[in-house]
Amino acid sequence: MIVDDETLQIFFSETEELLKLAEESLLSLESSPQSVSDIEQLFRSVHTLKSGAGMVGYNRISDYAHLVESLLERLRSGKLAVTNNLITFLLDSIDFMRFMVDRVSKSEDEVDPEVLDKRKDQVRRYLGVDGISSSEKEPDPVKAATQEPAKEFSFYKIHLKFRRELFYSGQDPLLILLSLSELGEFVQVVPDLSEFPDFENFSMYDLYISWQIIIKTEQSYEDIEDVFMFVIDDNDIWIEDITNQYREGIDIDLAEKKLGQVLVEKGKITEEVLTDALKKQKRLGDILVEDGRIHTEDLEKAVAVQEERRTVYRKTTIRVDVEKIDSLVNLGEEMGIGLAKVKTLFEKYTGPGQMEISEEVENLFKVNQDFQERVQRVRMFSLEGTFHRFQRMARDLALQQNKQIKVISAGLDTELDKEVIEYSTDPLKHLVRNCIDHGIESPKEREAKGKPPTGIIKFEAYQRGGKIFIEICDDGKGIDLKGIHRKALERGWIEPEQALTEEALLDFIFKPGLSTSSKVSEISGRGVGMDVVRTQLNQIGGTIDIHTEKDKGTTFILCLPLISAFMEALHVLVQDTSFLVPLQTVVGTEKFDKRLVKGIGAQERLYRFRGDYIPLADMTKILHIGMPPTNGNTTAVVIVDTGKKVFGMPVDEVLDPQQIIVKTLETNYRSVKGIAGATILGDGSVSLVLDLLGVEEIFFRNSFKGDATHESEEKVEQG
Amino acid sequence: MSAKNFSVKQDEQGIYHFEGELSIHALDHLKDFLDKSLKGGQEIAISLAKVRFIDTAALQLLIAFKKRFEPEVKLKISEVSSEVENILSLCGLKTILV
Amino acid sequence: MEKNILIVEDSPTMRSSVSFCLRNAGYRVAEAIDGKDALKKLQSMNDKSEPLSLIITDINMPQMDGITFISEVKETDFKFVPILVLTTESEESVIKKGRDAGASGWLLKPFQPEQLLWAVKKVIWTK
Repeated sequence: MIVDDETLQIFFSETEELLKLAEESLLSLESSPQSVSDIEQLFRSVHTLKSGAGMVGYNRISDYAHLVESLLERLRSGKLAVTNNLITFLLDSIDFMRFMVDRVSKSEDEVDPEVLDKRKDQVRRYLGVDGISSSEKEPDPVKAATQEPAKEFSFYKIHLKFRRELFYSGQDPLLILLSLSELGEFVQVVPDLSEFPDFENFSMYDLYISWQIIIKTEQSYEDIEDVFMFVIDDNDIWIEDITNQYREGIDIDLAEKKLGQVLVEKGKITEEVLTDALKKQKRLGDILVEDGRIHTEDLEKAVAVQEERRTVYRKTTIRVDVEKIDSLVNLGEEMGIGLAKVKTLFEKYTGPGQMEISEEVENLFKVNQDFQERVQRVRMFSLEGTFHRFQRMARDLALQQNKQIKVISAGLDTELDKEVIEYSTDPLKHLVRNCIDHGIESPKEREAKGKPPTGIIKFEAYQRGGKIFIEICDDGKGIDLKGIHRKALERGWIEPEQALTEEALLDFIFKPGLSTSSKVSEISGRGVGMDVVRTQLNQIGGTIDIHTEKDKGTTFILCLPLISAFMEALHVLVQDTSFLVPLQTVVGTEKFDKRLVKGIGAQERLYRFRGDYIPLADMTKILHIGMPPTNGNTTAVVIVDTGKKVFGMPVDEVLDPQQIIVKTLETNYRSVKGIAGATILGDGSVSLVLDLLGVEEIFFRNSFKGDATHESEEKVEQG
Repeated sequence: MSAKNFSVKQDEQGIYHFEGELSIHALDHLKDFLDKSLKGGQEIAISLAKVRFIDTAALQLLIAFKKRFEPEVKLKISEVSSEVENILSLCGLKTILV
Repeated sequence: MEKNILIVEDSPTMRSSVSFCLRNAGYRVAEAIDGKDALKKLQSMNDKSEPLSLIITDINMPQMDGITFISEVKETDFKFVPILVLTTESEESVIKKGRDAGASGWLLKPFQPEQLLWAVKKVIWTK
């Protein structure tokens, strides 16, 4: 079918969803092989995918899905049992379909025909030699295209007697006559009004007329039959090839008479035979229906499915470009900043209506905050999909290594910001691998330890205190602390007599170049270690914690921010201006001690910190935002490390740390170097978020010429 | 279609002009019209020149009235559109109706 | 005159491709995602006296399945509107159930545009 781009896009997004559903039901089937609802969902998904692919013209995908569907049909009818092998095979089939869909989405060919044939053969092997029943044959290509037209004319006599209620099926004999007339030339059309009742008994929505038609055509019997496709089963329709009679020459008068009469008169049948045939025909229709492979069982099943479908209420979702949501977030924040300004302006206002105004502004603040929160929730997704992927991965890995596992997930509905999910997926994947590769023992090993042969992997997510926690827990052998100790020694990280806490030992896991497993699985590969996991998590403001106990198992606990744009910041005041210092760059805060300051030259000052002298960066001088000069109220020094330089920031006051959303300033103010943006704090006041790299650049280029950094001084490029 | 895209107008000569689609969805309308116009014992003439489509149900109703009132009261189909002409010859009801 | 067709189908791909094909063939198409939605659409068509020539419906749908939908249609002013059922070879019993409920015909998924138009032609006057 030739379709438009929009339909294609719809197809891709629907297919993605269907493949996911199929995969989920397969995974779920593994733990409960009898689950009718899972089998149904699996079947439905593949079934819908097959039709969809066929509609948009991806026939290879459709063909393959069709075969898989046949296999699933056997599963559904109980002819095939759910085994691990079958599930593995079906998961693989799902992957193959996904592969094909991926390819076509990039405008590539679905798949190499040879590969497809091989894949199809695999499915057929599962189906067995007689796997494909007649009803499961490949759909016929469009008839007209393949049928050789018959050269000779044929004559058919067609008797059409419809049931009285035909109109209630939205059908009209006229349409059938029309279709028929297009196949050839009507030699005779004889309406039969013998059943037409008296006016009193006439019901205008019932059909009383029947017809007898003789048609001269080049088409085959089957083509004629096709015309009656929708009505042949529950109406009396006969098609008789009377070509021979016509060749012999036909008695024109006969055509004028009613069919029954004609047949009887010609001595072809007796009146009784006719009535009999009529009766038989009727029964035949019924038999056809019954024969149409409708078993009571199937019927009941179909009813059950429908019942189930009725109760399953699917959430309606729409796809929105993330950018659109982000722009809403930005607008909300801008409104907040604007409101904060309005609020400040009115603070000095004492005129009429002052109370009402400040109340109204306060109210708007709350509404805006609510609005922002809600918009941010739009970006939040549940972890369900991610967990399902892990479940699949864990299962595949365990299978490869001949390990037995059971996956338990909890807190699937915990929601996380889309970006946080994206960034934490890789680290999580690595941890799952770790559990299978290094945690779960082989069934034999486990039994020897007195554990059940099947290992348990648990994924759990929950929200606590504005953070999302994800735990990945196995009941395997635990982390080999002795092994880590040995390796650390080998690598010269520690001295032989050095006493180390468990925590310190575990920390080595995050050091590059430590691997305690001799085997390397296909997925985990070599080289990527826990060091990468920690780095990646830190990038989005997450942390990782490990608990392990020998032969009891290991738990990785990830702590992630709710929203990636959220940032922990130290809240400080300098000359009544509120600043936020991103916490990840803060080394610590020290009480300001005049005695530790060492002046070098007129402007620059150094501060003694952990045995070194670090430069002191004075915000009132660095930032050109019209702050009054320092008046000696400094009470503390915030020590920051940008990765390049370490320096101190004298501040007047250190307040509670804040979780903030950075809002770029550009749209509101001119871009200010050294300031990343502004944010509205809980009390409605605006605070400036420092861009420490920017601060560093201004500071070290313009003001500070001394070399007191932990690295050699770098030249800063101009421009 | 459930909307009645069918209407009747009478001209100076008393001929009723049917217009639109004379289908099963318009049967109530058609029956009302026939009831009213034939009960008075008057002959009526109907033009189907502006009828684009007529279905079996509508044809049946016309036949039913014709059978009921003729030959005493005449129901005359005076003219037909080419579409109706085609339909009538397709189903062989022309001689019965016209 | 333009003819209106209502397509009732929960699979977005199916809905979109059928609509596209019918629109290309010159029909006006309204879409509904399941039986319940379709009944709502019918109600509003009725309110606006919009004519409807054909309903094409899927069978397995959430909220209200096709068979129930067809039975419901038969209770409305649209009871004589032809109904084509979209089904597949694996749901043969559905064809009978559909017919018993009052469907006019059926079409096996997936299908080619010409097959769709062929089936449409069987149930509505397209001349």
